[in-house]
Amino acid sequence: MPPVDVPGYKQTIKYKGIFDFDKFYKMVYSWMMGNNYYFEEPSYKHKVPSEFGAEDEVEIKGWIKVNSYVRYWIFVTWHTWDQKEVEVIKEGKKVMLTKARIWIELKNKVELDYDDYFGKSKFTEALRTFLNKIVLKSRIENVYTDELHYRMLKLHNLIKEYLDNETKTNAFYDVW
Amino acid sequence: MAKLKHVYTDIKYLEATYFRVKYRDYFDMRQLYLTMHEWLIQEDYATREDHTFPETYYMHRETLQSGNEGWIWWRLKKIPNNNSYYRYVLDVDFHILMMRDAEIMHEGRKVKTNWGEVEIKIWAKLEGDYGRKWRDSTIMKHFEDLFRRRIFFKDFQMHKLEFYREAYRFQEFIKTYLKLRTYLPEVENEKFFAPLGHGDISQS
Repeated sequence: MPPVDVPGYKQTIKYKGIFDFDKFYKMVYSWMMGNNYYFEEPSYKHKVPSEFGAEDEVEIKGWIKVNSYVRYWIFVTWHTWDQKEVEVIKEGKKVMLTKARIWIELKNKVELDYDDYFGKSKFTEALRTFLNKIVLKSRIENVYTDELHYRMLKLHNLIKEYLDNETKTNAFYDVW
Repeated sequence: MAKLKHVYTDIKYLEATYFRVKYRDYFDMRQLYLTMHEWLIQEDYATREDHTFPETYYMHRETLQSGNEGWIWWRLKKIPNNNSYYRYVLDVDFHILMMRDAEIMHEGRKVKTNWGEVEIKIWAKLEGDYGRKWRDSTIMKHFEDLFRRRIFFKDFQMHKLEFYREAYRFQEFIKTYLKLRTYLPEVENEKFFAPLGHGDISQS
């Protein structure tokens, strides 16, 4: 039996306008690497369906080991439409930015027993179920999922700050 | 009844990473193929001798209305630092759809290129005991699992991380060629290969 996943909440950001896409991409990568996540990009799709601009779909995921039993995962997916490079004057200098519609989704999950130590037999699987549902239940719900959710909110807020959204504040910035 | 076996049955491997890059626009397929081939030679996954290059499958189908379709499989292996226990296994699959010849204007000149969709899937796996020295030995086969899961574990993880970095450098290389956005601080192919296969780099 494979490791057990405890899915978290999903966050979505939608934005239409001009932004520096290259810096945005590097910012997400830097945040993950700076927070010691093992970064992976399983899919990158690009096409130009019409004269209005290009379309990109990118999936990013990162994991970090909390201990020998628990692992945190964060998934970032974005989809852009009508992507075009535009030249703008920013702070007195000409820069190339991207004009696009972008939809960003952030998801997370807590993975338990990621090395499948308890998956060797039916008895050990039953032990794992007992461990997850009885012994570690409050720790999983109150500590692990909670911590991961607020960590992901930090990334969520960073993206909103970068896109200069009106709601670019994080009321829980000091939590975890 | 015949027992079906996958190519990875009985193979002890650890997946370092998997990713795919899908691109649909104007680009030169032949140059992409040659450029990736060149990178693999430079990284010691293959030699310059064509008959030794591990292209295990090549399919090309032409249709009148939908353009050309192609499948190409590369199954590459590399033994890092003459290691006797593990090796890097890199599986590269190309899937080309709707490929047709096209002409574009590039830097004031007409350039012959292609339009179509290419999907490149890459699996990077770390294979343990590739020579079957442990598994085929009467005594050592009983300890192989213990050594791989416990004693060599940290070493394995370290090499897996190394291979993961190498695989993502390859991804960076492909994305730079296709002029897609990248995130690594150092560009992999810089100005050595002309992006999209167009133009002479000495002019840029």
